[in-house]
Amino acid sequence: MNKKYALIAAAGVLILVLLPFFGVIKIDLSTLGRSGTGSFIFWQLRVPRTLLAFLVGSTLAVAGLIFQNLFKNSLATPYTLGVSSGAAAAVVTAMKLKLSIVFLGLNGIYIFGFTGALITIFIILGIARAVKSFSIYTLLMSGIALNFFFSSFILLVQYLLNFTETVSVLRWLMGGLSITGYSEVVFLAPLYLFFIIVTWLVKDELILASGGDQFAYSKGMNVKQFRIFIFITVSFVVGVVVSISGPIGFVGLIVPHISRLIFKHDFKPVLIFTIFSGGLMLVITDFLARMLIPPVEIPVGIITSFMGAPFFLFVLISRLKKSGGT
Amino acid sequence: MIDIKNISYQLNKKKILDNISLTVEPGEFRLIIGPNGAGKTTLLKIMSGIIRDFDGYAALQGKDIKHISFKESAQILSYQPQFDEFALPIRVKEILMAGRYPYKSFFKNYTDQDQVIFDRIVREMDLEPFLERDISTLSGGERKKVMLASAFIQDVSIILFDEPFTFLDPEAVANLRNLMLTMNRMGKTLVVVSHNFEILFPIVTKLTALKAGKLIYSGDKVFDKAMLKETYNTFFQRILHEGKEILFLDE
Repeated sequence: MNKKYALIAAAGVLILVLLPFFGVIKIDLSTLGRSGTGSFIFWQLRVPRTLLAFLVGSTLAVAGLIFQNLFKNSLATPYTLGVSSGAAAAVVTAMKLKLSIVFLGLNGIYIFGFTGALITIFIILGIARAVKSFSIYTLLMSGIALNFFFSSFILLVQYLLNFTETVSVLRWLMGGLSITGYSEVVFLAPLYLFFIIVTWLVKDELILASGGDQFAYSKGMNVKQFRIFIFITVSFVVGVVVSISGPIGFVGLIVPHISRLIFKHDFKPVLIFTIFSGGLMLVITDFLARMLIPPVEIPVGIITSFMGAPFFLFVLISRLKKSGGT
Repeated sequence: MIDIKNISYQLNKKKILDNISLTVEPGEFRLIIGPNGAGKTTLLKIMSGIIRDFDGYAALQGKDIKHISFKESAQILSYQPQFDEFALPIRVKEILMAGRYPYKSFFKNYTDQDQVIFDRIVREMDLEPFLERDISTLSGGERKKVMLASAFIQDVSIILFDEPFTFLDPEAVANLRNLMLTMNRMGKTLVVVSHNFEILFPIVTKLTALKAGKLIYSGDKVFDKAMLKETYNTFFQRILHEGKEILFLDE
């Protein structure tokens, strides 16, 4: 069994190392040491982009897994519940109004992303509290409503303000990972590490939370406190990730779902697999985004949505079939 | 021991519990009865420390329930909700191990000692074949058994049950009832909220009757037709047969 996992891991690493060599322009190994176009494309474009894709994909996948456990629902992810679009609305507003604040050394855009995500989460919790239920309908319906609202809000802001920025904002909204240099990666990497370590440390709490509030309380867990702590943490990382790469959808849905299929009900390997395959999935998707119709680059968010939306319907249908529509 | 003094509780301006006082002594087996909406579940949740914003005073082993930590109370008592809410795939193993959570320090893993207790209960309750299975593939009775085993692994002295017999078939009801009896004989304090009066009445030692948030009776088990009529608005009959009490609804 362990051999099999080692093999999978090796294949993953191999993909990570090899993919930056391929693209519209093939990179020859011999050019890497020399200065020149090939070396520039490799070191300044492809490598940072691959790293960013891994960090973003892994973050979104783990955030999705956490949401699923806290809401006890495999369709609940930051994207489907509207948290990503809440962050996006805040970021677009900041971009358009050219608001720039720097707080504790953080770029203002990230703070807007974080705030947008956090506000959305508290709206969802408020709705769930009002109707006293975290049922699949409550959650998904409020997610749909919030997604609609924030999309309209983004359109309104786009329409009213600063036409010069429209194209770049639009491109960002489609989700993309094309960066030059390492500043985003350097900024995101420590946050990512912090997030993964925190998640690993609270894995037992996540298991307890998936049994519902009463179960968790009866086992001595302070659910309310935990939920607030986790939601603030997830809002923060999702807010930052959305600020950098735009709202990339469905990674947080697909990856945890497949992890649970493979590792059945054993949460620890599910978490480990989600961490790595989340990153890998976005790296591969981004590779496809570059390669499908060269030299045109498809925004990676469009590809994940093309895969994710049918996947979402598939999960929804199989869930409703199983539970008889409730 | 659970000590409750003059407790009242309101939810959305509706009075759920009205000036309730009662004491749960170590080793007792108490049945709480009352019609729907009487406040039974609320009372149970107050005893277990899940609901804390009530008026009045409640103490667990002499400690104010409002200020006791969740972990500390989970080392003393376990609340068994009517239904478990596991919707995502999760192994029985993990649910059982959650019983050791109150003893685990944050950031640390479960210890060998936790594993020893885990193994012992699994052996005693014949749960080995279920360990790797997803809880959702188990029957209602098996699920209840797993949740109870988790409370055993939790090593608590008090177990609170909320309608434990809902949706169980007769065999599962009989198994659970026998398990409760064994637990009580082993010295566990049991408090059970249940409509299944006829199943539990013969084996409990104490009785509490609630109606519309008010205490109608609390004390030793008695078969008091007038009190039962006041509680349920229905007459009950009792016959003694071969040393056993049999209760049924009067026509």
